[in-house]
Amino acid sequence: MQAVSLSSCIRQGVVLFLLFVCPAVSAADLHELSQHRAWKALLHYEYEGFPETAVSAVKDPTFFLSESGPVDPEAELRATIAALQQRPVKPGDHALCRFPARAYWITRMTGAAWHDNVDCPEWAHWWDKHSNSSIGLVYVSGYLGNPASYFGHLLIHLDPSGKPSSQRDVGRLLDTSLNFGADIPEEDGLVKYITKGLIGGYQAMFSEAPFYRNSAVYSETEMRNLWYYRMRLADWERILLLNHLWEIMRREYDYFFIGQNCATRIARTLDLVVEQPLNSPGLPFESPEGVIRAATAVSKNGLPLLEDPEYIPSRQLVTRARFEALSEIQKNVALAVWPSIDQFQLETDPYQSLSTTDKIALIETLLSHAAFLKQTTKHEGIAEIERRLLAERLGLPTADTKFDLEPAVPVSEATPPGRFELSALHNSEHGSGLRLVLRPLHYDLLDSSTARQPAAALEVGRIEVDVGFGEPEISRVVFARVTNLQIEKNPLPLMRKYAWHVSLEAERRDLDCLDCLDLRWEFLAGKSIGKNRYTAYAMGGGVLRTQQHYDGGLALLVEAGAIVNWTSSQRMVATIQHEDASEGVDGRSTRVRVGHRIRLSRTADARIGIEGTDPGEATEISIGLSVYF
Amino acid sequence: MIQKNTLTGILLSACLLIFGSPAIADSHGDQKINPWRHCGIGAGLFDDNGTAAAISNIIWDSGTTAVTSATASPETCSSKILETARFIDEAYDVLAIETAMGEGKHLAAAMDLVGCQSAAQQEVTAKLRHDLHGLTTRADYTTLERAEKAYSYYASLLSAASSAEGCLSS
Repeated sequence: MQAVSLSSCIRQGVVLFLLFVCPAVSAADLHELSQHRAWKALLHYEYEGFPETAVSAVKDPTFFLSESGPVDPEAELRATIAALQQRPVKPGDHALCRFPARAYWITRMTGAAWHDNVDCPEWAHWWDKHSNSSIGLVYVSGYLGNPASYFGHLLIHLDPSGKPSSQRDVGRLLDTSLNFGADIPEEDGLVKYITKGLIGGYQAMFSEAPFYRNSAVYSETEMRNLWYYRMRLADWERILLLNHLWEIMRREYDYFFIGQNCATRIARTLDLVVEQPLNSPGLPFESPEGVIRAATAVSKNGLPLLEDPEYIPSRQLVTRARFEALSEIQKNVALAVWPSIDQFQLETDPYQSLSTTDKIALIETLLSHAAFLKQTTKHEGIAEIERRLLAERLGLPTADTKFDLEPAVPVSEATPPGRFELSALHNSEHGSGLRLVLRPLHYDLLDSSTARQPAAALEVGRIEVDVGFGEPEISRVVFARVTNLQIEKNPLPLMRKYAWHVSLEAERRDLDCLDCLDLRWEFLAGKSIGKNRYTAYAMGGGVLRTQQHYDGGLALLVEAGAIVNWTSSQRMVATIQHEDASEGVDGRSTRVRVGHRIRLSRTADARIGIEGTDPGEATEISIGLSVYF
Repeated sequence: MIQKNTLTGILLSACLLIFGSPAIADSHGDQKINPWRHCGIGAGLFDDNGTAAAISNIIWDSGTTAVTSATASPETCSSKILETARFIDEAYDVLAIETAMGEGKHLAAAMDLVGCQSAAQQEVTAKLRHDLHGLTTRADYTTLERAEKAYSYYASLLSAASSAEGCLSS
């Protein structure tokens, strides 16, 4: 805090100190201070309507001291100063207890001093715990088990030790997470949940919880990977932000899944200490990884705002790494000990003949696998197998077992989700032309990775336009496309999960025609297998379709595919799809697609595509370059 | 089987007696707290008249942690007691695995909660592993309620920490 003398105050043209001492000071200066970026960030002003009007995103009336505070930053500033100047009456009631960040910021800007005998027991408890806390962000990878989690999640993380990761003796489990989430009544079903999430109706707020609770949900139950990014903040910024987090805790905001979600709120909260916008101005959707990417680009005092991330892998990846670290003999014994989900036999000779060291690594791998199964299946026998493994491991001495985790690309270094592609296209019926592809979100089978979700696709709003065959024609529109092959490359026994696919898109009936789009809703489920760099799947289901160019609105649909990761930068996906509405030739169709991606850099790739429909009909070949944004 | 279980229960109880009282002495004195019973963790599992409570008393308390509700109040459920008990209650599955392995972030966090410095952690871990081994060799381990397992771990941790040099609880 700055101690500002009257003379220096005059020299610096600082406003409020003068306001207290010289009441005749210009109201224009007070107005200027109320328009300061940080003051508006403290009040969470956002701009709505045309012409744009500032309106606070906080819907809790007790957050404002002026009746017009939600729309008038100057009125709120005046009311805040007046409240801060009042004598304290009851412990915890004073404005200094409720708005410590506002008081801190006004003091910093003006040198104003407040009463020093204010009793704030709840704030003092918070401050006692967090006065030394460093502040960071935790990115949680996407989860296709819940539509609201498709694009990942973001948490604010407070580390009371204030130490960098390399100096932490214990992990981060006892640190504090601040989670921005909607308050969703238990009785709301999926349809109501999605509807209200999209069009409004839920309230959301920041809540505080120990990090181990989030770690349990995300790492141990939903098998999501986490990255912790500690922020480099000046001490005054850290103090200001910590106090502001206290101010906004449990305040109500409107929740919209698209534009008022965890990413929006955390980005706008960080506006207080980060001048560059961390949200995506002009875009209707705020994503957690968008905030991380924006924050990665921010520098403060010549250093990046975010330190190198700390990786917290899911239980699934830890188990896989442990298994890969076993010798071939240990792997074979592991599969002999636990050949199927119902069979478990530690008494086998191969196991009993292992050395103690080998037994320890093997049992620890199986224990980790049992923990994975316990969270992902409802098989009754797992608890007993886990008990036997625990007892066996506890009967062996402790040892330091080593295993290397598969390298994972943090989302801040992953390929961005937006893609624009320009391709040269040759159609065997219509000749050569160009194809433009724009995909705002998010990834497909060719560019999916562990940073988001491996062996999966999540595309929203993709549009393809062909030019050079007369008038430009839309050749495909993907409104939404979700594929989750649920690959588990660990060969230990599993309760196999279904691969599944859902999409809503408009697609050409076949490649012979240029203007023959039909709307299609595909729904498929099936099985997948993965080994080393190969993945294969087969799914069956149906397609509901418009009948502009088809006979039959409902058709059976089957799809088989293969994914080959040739190298770390080259992947091929081949699929064959057949549908039949039992309406003769015009009710059935077969389509083959082969795509190959060559990664050129983090933000560019080259793609080659071959596509054909029914035998004897046209085929297409495309070669294109994509840039990601 | 019943005889075997009873014998194991007696042996385990004896272990707890030998290790000493697992209860925390808080700022209000030497009152001994079962956070699951007295501080609201466990949602009534350890209520005085409940069957589970009776079972747990036989298995775990055996006089070593018995507390009359008259001596326990919300005030005696200090934040440290609650923090430790909640952590064990919510992270029990992973804690059990890491205790079996003898290392891990959850185990380190448990040590941190009872203020065990690195020099004491090996001794505390050894005691935790011993107690957990006794528990997991019981065939009915899988039928125990989660809160019962968590309380057992809590009791074992407090007992080990109270007797080890280099822990705040000692």
